[in-house]
Amino acid sequence: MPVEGDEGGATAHPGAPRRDWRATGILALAVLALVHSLLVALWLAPSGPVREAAGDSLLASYVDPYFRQSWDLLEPSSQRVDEALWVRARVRVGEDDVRETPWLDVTKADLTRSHDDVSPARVHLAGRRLATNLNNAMFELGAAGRRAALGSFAGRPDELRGALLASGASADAVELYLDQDAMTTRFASLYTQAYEQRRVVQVQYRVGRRVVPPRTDGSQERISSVPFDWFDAGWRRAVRGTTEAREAFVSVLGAGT
Amino acid sequence: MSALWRVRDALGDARRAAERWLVGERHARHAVAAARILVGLSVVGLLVTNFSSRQVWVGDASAWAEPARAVSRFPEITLLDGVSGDLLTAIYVLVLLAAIGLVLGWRAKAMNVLVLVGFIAVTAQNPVLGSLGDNLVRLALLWMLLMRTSEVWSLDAARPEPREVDEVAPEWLRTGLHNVGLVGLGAQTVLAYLAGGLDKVSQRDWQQGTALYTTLQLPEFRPFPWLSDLLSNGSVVLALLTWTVLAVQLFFAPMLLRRWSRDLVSILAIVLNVLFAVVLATPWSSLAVIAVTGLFVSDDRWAALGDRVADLLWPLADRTADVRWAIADRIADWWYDHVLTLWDRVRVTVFRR
Repeated sequence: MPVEGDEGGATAHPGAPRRDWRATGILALAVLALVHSLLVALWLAPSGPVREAAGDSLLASYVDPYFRQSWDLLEPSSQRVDEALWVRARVRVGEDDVRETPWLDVTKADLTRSHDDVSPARVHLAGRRLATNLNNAMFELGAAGRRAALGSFAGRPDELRGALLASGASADAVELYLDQDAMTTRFASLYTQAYEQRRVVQVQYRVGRRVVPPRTDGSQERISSVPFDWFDAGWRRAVRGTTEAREAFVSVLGAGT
Repeated sequence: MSALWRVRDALGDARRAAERWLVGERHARHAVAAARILVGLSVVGLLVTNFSSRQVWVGDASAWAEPARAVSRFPEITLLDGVSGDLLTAIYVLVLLAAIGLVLGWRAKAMNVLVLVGFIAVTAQNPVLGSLGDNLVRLALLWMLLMRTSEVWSLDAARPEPREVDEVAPEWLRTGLHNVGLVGLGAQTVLAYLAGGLDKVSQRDWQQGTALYTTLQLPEFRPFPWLSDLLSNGSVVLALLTWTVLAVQLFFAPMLLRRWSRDLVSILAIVLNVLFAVVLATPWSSLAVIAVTGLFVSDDRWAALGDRVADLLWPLADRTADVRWAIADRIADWWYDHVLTLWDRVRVTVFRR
């Protein structure tokens, strides 16, 4: 196997083709690249005997994080669910008094900002992503868990965890929801504070879900005519955030102008 | 027995052919250069369009995404962990400049490393706002580390002679690694298409040719409502578009076997990605898909396209030569008048030499 710059072929056994270790090494690397692709393909494959034989957790630890991907890596995908996020706050107006602000439609504001924009900023996806994650987490909680999440646990996250566990939801589902609840609470705190001069002390979020009507000949029904199914979580204690974080939200939302 | 010998001979032939392909010459030099440029542009575009909101996306004001960040396994996220707004801006701009360097092919290998680390550090900061395109950019940058991406269409290629530090590996190894990288990224791309095609073909709405209707009705995927309606209102147009997407993704791998079908499916996939980049407002992830899909377009087509672009740009370059030289002169004057003068003063007063 001749290699560019190779000058050592003369010592090969007469009559037998000399095997070049360099070409063999490169071939071995190429085979490794293909084996790697096979492992990624196995990781992508639906659960089944082949994937189990390869070792689920072993595959995951190999692929995650650098080689992670999904079935719908390539656009477009088929999506049919629309979701919305609204937030509101209780702001301190006196020593012991608070005032409730009106609901702010986060997703609608995001859509307005990204209208006619071929490359919208990622922050304008935040409302929709948080709503999607919350809906998924609440689905996992079950009906009793969702009823528990309706309660106000401002400043008492351990009580919220206890109430969710007492509802019969699995520990994994509870942790998933608590993570989403914490993220949405923090986001709602900074979001509502951007529109308020007074200090936000508690926040509440509302998530909506609706499905695009199926396409049927002659039907003109659009998703805008389908009402959302709403879910209001209870009040949660607001997170203050740093001055820099609050100013960044004011700047992005244009709330100070 | 003779059948066994025939199998053995065939395997031997295949092995020799594979070795010849792998170490004989570097393949797809133009396609790989195009991938470098397009992946670089994808990163540049993403960073530029998110620059004004970077603090809420990945900076101090992204603290709301901390629970999602805590489960991320990318070690690179520690690079931006707890940094001040100014330092975030400095790192962000550094990654942006490195991505521009990658596009231009200036010290391409070093820029590739910087962009890979910086891109992961930035995008993995906020998993809630991640995109599927991020995975593809990361995978492309990873495999491109093995490749010689700046042999054509780059400032590196325009240098009169390569620096010795650039040539740390012998020629056979550089060629071999380039081709292994090409095999790896090619296999990755085929896998992405195959997975997408198999996923879609198992769903009823893709079989019926209506899958894109619901997506195009969702407000977040309608930056230009008139365009979405144009594609989704007519049954025939909608079905043709849906089935074309399905066919391209499902049959991408088998169509790579012949040159004409390879060019056809690659070009069709690129056209579809351009369309959906606009319709769904996903230009940067679509650009990354186009970059890796372009690896399968034959190299002479890329070279011809490069020549045509150069012919188109030449009059412009010629016409602006005076302006460019004037700007270069101004920069040189500024450098000599200010920077070197300052350096001379420091040398004389501080170092006394």
